[in-house]
Amino acid sequence: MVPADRKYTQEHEWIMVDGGNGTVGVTEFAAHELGDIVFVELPSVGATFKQGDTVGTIESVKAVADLYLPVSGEIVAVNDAVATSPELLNSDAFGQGWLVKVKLSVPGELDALLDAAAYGELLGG
Amino acid sequence: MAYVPHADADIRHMLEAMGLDSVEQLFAHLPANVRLDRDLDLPLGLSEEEVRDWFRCAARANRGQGELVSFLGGGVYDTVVPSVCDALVSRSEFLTAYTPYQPEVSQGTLQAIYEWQSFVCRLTGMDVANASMYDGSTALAEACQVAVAAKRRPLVVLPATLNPRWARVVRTSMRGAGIAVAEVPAGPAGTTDVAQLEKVLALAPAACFVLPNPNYLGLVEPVDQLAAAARAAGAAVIAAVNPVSLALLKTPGEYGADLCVGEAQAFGIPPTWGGPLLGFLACSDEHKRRIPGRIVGRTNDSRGQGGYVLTLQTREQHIRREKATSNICSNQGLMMLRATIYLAMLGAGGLAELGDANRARIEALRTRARKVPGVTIPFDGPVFNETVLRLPRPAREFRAFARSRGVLAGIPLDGVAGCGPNDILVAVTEKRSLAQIDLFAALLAEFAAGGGKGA
Amino acid sequence: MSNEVKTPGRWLGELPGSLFDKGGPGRRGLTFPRWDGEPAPALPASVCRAKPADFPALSEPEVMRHFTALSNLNHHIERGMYPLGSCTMKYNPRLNEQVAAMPGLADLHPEQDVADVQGLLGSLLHLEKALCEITGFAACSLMPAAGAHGEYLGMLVIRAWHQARGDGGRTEILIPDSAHGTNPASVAIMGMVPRQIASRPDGRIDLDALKAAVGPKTAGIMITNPNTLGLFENDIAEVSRIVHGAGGRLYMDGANLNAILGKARPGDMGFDVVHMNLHKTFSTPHGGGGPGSGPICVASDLAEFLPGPRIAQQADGSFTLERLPGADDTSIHAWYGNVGVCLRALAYILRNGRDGLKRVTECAVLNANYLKHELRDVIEVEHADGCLHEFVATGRGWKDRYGVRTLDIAKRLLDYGMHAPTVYFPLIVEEAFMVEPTETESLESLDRFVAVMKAIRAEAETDPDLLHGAPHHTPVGRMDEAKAARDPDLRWLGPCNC
Repeated sequence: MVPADRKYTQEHEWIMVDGGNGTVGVTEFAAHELGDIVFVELPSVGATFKQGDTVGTIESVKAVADLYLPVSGEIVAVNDAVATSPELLNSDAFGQGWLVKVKLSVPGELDALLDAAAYGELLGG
Repeated sequence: MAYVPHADADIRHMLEAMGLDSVEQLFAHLPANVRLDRDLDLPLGLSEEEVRDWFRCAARANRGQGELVSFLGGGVYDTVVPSVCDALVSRSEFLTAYTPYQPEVSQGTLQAIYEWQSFVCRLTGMDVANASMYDGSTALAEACQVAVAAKRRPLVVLPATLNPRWARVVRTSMRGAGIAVAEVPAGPAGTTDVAQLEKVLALAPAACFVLPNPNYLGLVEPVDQLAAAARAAGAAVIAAVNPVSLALLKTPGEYGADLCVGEAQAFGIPPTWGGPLLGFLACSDEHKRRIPGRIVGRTNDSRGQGGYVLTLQTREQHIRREKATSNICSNQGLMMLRATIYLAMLGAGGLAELGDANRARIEALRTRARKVPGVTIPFDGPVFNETVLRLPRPAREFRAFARSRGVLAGIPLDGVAGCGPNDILVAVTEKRSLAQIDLFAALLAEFAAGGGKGA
Repeated sequence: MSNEVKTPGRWLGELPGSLFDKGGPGRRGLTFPRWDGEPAPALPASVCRAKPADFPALSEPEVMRHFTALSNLNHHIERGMYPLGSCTMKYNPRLNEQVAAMPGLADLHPEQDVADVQGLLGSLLHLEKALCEITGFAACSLMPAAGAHGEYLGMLVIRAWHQARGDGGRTEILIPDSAHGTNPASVAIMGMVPRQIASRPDGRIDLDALKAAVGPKTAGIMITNPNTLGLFENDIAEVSRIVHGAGGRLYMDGANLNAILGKARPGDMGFDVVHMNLHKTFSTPHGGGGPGSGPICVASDLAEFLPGPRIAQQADGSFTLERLPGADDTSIHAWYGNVGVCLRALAYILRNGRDGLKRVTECAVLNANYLKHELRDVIEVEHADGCLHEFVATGRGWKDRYGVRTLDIAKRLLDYGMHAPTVYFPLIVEEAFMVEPTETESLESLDRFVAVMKAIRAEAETDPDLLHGAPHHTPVGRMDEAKAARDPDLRWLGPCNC
C-alpha cells in the first residue's frame, strides 16, 4: 500500500530519488481524500524552489490542496499527462500520477523525511 | 400578521408540544444586557393596500423616463423592455428559486445561465463567460484582479476615457489590494493615444490595460493598435464594452482581449436609478480557472441524460475562503435571465436591426446638432449611440433648460477626459423617435440663441 | 390533517433541449419602433465585426415555451419548503414586486436631477432609518449589491477609520472557524489578513483564544450572531470589551438577523458595523442566485467613511444628495446599489411594522425549535441548548448505523418535493445538516417535514441503496461533477437555426 522505495512528507507528498533527481507526487491516501481530481496546476520547468514551497495546486470538485515541494531544487520536468488527464492521480498516484521531477540542491534534506514505515504509521497503520 | 401563517392557536399547540408556556421562553437565554427592552421605534404594520398607496405617492413625486424624453446614457440606457421579460421573470419558478446548488431541482436556472454564457461568448467573441456580476463597474474591478493574479504585476493602467464611475470602483478595489493605478490621458481625438499608452506602459510593468469601446465619450477607440501596444508590453487587455454596440463593432475576441466586461442593462432591464443592473465577465480559455463568479457547465447525470451544473467551483470563496480571488457569492440571477430572454427574442435579425437603429438615431442627432450655430461636435470619430456636444454655454444650463421642456438632455462632462463645462454627453436608443430628436435639436437651437438664460 | 407520507411519484416531464437548437431562419421575436429618419452612413469596416453574432432565431411564442419549460424544472418557495440553514428562504411577497415595478420608480435614470427623484430619495432615506433602528446604528449605506459586497464595504470602512487615525498598521481581522466562506475572502481581497480563531465545543467564541489573538495588529473581528450554528454569542459584551480594548472594531455578519428582529440589536451588543441580506431577512426574492442587496449600518464615528452621496432631508422637507470628502475612497458600485431590491425590502418593513417584525422573529425561532424538538428521535442535534432560528443536526449516526451520508438524506428530500437543507456547513460539525424553516412555514408544513424525515429514516434502515442513488423522481439525477470540471463545456458550440 505504501511503497518502500521512496520517502514521504507529513503533507502526503512522496519523493523517489534516482541519482541527483527526485520524482515527486502525492500519495494514494491524499488522492483518495481529495476525491475525484479534476485539475492540476504545476510549476514551470526551470523554476527553483526551497523545501516546503508551494509549487502547485491539486483540485477536486469541491476541494483544493496545495502541492509542497519536499526538497529544495530546480524543476527539471513536469508530468504533462496529469495536466490533461488529472484522473491519473486517482488511478495511479504512485506511478503514472507523478507530478514533477526536481534536481535536488540540498540532498541532505531527504534524511528528515519519513520512510514508508513512518508514513504508514502516520496513516494509522 | 403580514406573512406569518400561524394563528395564536397554532402557536399554543407548538409551545405545548415542547412543554413551554410562552414564546418568550425561547429567548430567555439571551443575555439581559443586550436584550431590547422596548418596541422598535417603527410604525405599526400596514395593510397591503396602504403600502401600495405609500409607494404610489413616492412614485408620483418622481419624474421618470416613461414621462420625460430621455437622452441620458453613460452606462444606463432607456431601452425597450419586452413584455415576455416581465412575464417570465415573475414566474414563481424563477423568481423564488434559490441558488442552483441542488442541480437535480434547478435545471431551469442552470440551463438559463448556460444559455446566457453562450450568448455572451457569441456576442463578444470570447471563450468563456460567467453567470454575471453586480454591474459593469464591479465586473471591471474583478477583471483587473484576475489580470493582476495572472501577470503577477501590481499595476493596472486605465485610460482617461473610461467611465469615471467605473474608474472610481476600480480604484477602490485596487487601493484595497495594494495595487497601483496609472492613467493614460485622452488624446485630441477624444480617444486614447497609442503613443501615450506606450509611454505609460514603458514606465513600469503593468498587469493590464483597460480598453473601453465605445469609450465614455461615445467614441470608437483604435482597438487594434491599443491592444497590440498592451500585448507588446506584456499586459493583459481588458475590454470594457457596451454589449449593444457589438451588434456592429469589432469584438474583443477579434482584437485579442484577454478579458471582456460590460454592463448589459440595455438588454431588457429597467434602470431603477442604477440598480439592479447586470455586469458580465468573459475571458479567453487561458483564464477560465481564474475568473470570479458562478459558472455553469454541461455534463451527464447518473441516468445518462445531459444536464447542467455549477462547475469550476474551487475558484470560489465557499471552498478557497481566504485564498479565493474574489469574495463574490451571488450573481444578478433575475437580471441575467431578463437579458437571456431579451437576446432570445432579439435573435440574429433583431441584433442587426438594433445596431442600425442606434446608429441611425445618433447620426441624425449629430447632423442636426452640427447645423445649430454655436454648437459643435468636438470629436469627430465614429460613434455608436452616444456623442459629446460642445455648447455655447454651460452644459448644466442646457440640462436645466431642456428639463423645463420635459427633456433629459444628457450628462455634463466637466473634467472628464479633457472635457470642459460646456460639454455634454448625449445618448440615444432604439426608443427615440425622429420627432423627439427634432425636438432635441430645436431645444439646442433655442438654447444657443439665448434661451434658458438665468434659469 | 394527516401525517401520512406518500411515496413520491416519477417525474413525467421532458427536458426542454437547448435554445440554440430551436427556431428557424427568418423568425423574429422582438421588433422596434419604426424610424422615419435617414439611415446612418456605414461605419468604416475597420471598426466593425467580421460577421454577425450567431444567435438563434425564434418567435415570441417559442421563446415563451422554452423559458416556461425551463422554469418547470426548478424547485421554488411557492412550491415547497427550503429548510436551508443560513439562507433564510422565506416567502417572497408579491406586493414587493408590484411596488418596485411602478412607473416613477423602475424608470428612473441614475443621472437624473435630484428634483426628479424626490419620492425615491425619501423612500430610500426611510429605509436607511428603519434599518438603523432595527440594528441600533447611526448611519446606513444601501450601496452593497449583496451580502459579500457589504462585508467588503464594512472592511473598507473599518480600515479607512484606522487609517484616518494614523493607525494603518492594523491589518488583521479575527474570524471564528465557523464563519461563512465569504468572511475570510472579503478580508483577504482587500489586502487584510484573516486570522482564524477556534470555537468552543458549544460552537461559541472561545474567549481565551480571542484574548490570545488580539494585539496591536488587530483591525477588528467578524462575527455572525447568532452564529452559523444558530446559537447566540452569549459573551458578546465581553468579546466587545476585549476587541475594543485592543483597538479593533466589531463587524457583524447579519445573515442571521431573522433571529433577533425587535429582540436584540447589533448596535447594543457592541458591534460597530453590520451588514444585512435584504434577500434573506427582508423577503426579497433570491431569483435563482440574485440580485441581492447587502446594506451596512455603522456606528456614528464610522459614518463619514460611507461611500457615495448621502441622502439628507432639508428643513423644507426636500431631499438632497451630499457627497462627503471620503466617499470616493469606499465606492464599490457605479451608482447607488441594487435600489430596486431596497424598495422591495422597504415594502416588507412597512407591511410588517414594529409588531410584525417582532412576530417574524418569534415565529422563526418558534418554528426552528419546534422542528428541532419533533426531530429529536430522527436525527441527532448538535448543541441542543438554546437554538434560535436554525439548528444544526448531524448525520453521523445515520452514517454509522445505515451507511447513509448526509448528502444522501439531502438528495432523498428532493424526491419528496422539498429542497435539501444546508449540508456539510458549518465545517466544524461532522456530516452537518443545518435546518432553518423560517417563519413562513405553517404548522402542517413543519409536520410534513418531520414525517418525511421519518419516512426517509425508515428507507435508510431497510434500503440504504435507495438513498445512495437518490434523487429518483427529479428531472435529472445526480450530475457528474467531476466530468464537468475536468472537461468544461461552458457554452453552446453548435450552429444555430438562423
